[in-house]
Amino acid sequence: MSRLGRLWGTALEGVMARRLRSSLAALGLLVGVAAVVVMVAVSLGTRNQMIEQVTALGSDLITVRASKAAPSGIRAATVKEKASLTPADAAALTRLEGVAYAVPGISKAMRVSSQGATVDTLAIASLPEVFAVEGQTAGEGRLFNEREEKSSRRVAVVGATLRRNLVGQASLVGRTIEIRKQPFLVVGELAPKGLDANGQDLDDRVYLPLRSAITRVMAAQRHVEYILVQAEPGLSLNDLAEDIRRILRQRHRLTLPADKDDFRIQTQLEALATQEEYGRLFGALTVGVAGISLLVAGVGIMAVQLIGVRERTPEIGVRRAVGALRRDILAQFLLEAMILGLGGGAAGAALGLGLAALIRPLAGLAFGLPWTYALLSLLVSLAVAVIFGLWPARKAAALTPVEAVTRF
Amino acid sequence: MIRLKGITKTYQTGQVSTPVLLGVDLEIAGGEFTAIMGPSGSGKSTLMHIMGLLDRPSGGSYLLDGHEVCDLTDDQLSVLRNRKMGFVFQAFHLLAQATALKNVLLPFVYAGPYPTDAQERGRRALAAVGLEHRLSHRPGELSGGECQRVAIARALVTDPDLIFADEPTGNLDRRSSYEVMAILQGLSAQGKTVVLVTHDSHVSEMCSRVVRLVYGRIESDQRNPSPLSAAAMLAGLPPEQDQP
Repeated sequence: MSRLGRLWGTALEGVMARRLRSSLAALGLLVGVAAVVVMVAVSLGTRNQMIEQVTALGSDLITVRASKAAPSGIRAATVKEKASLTPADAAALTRLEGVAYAVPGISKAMRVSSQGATVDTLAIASLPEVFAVEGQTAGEGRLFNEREEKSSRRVAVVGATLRRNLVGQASLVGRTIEIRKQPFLVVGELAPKGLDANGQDLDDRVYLPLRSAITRVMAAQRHVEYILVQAEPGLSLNDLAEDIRRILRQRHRLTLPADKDDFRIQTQLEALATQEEYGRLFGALTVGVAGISLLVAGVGIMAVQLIGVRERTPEIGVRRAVGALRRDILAQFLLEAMILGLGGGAAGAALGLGLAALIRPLAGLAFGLPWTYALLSLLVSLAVAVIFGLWPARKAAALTPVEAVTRF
Repeated sequence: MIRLKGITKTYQTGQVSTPVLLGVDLEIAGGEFTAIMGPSGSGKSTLMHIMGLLDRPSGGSYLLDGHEVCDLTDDQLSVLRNRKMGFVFQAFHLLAQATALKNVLLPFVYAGPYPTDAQERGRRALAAVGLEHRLSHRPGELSGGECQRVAIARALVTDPDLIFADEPTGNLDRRSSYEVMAILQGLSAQGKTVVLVTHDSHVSEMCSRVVRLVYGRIESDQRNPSPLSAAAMLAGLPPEQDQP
């Protein structure tokens, strides 16, 4: 048996002889590592889902939103309200080269009833092209069409969740729902899409033709909230966004350079970038939390080891008396700290992975378990143990034999 | 074996310096059983610590087997302690969580190569102090006398030339004290050099030489041609325990 092997044995005996105290010292690391592993798992999961959705929605989508512009110049009064976009703007954008669709839309929370049941849902008023842009297909029945839009027909297409909330497993297709006392004929139900990255149910919706929605249930408002612009494939979205901006400024008579845009143009890539930004923020937060918990855990290990050195001074003395070198004592206490670090880190990583595996189905998130992060936090735990174990170990090694052997 | 010349020791605590040894000349030959006596504060423990290489003198010269040890490094002193010396302390200094055998094997943890027959040597050392039936007992399960005998076995296991015992009977009843002294006398008879610190004159009467230390100086140094036999004293005790 090598000397190092014998010292490992000595350290292990030292840890095992004080099981309760050792467990408490390792507990800090356990909790910290478990928390970090779970946080990383969940954030990776939401990020994956976000990317998936953006990719599904198409990265060649530009969203123009009405926004309140800061008033400037003489037209301040006219741009003050958050009502800048019109269906005519959308029509103008459609004529722009490189634009496949430009679909105006309004989304509003609305109360919908059918056969005595009443629920709140999200009503989306838009053109039939919205289904193509959003990649929606009919799961049952059909989508509403151009003719129905033009002639302001009171038709609706419902999402699966809304239908379930209203009539359970029965079908709504061919039946009438009421929105603001106006009857709408349900012509179809969308194929289910599930939750989005923010946990919103994409199936808890009803789609209405824009014109009939505006005239019947939205108090004849002239403005829309947003325009979805689908670019032709292979186009520079930045150039297209610039074109859109120019046209809309023209149409909104924002001629002075000082005039602020009364709309916001957002590409899906920007949305993704925003999410990534949140992701980075969350990552930084995770690192911060991890740092603090590891610091606390490290201080815990240091405290336990310092008490150990003080309490075991006679033991150190007798070890020195029978021939232990200073570095043998250093190694013994450092190895003890490392065992605490490895033990706490491994238990924490296992607990974190277990919790992540448990959360996965509950949160409806699809993510791989963060094995690399678990391994990484194990190594970090070890490093923390070494860093915080070093001072007590040096204190132990610095004792002269006579100091150690005569102190009680 | 041991030759001390003009050994001084002064403890420095902040601005206050406390002289403990004021120049000690002492020679101890191989096989001698020497008691160092003296009142508290006389410096007898300090002297033993210096002879046992647990502490360094402030001045003077210490030849161990003809070699000056004052200039050796901390590591070299540790190796010398491991190879040549065994220690017995008043408070036993056993590892509470370890068995008797494990305690006895402690010096081998720090020996250069681990001897292949370590376990066997540990058992023999415990048998030599009459504890062959207590191998896997922990200190908490042993009496004070038995603990001190485990400590002696630990001091013996590497077969050192020198054994230092600091008040080895200080915490023991009379019967256990005789048992411990009988073992130490036996070791001396085998040719080992034993240095014992005590303030108990009855204990010193069992040694072949008595050095008296007062205020850091040797006051007297007497040979004892016919030391008391601890084994005989033990036999003379009433058959069962006489607790003081």
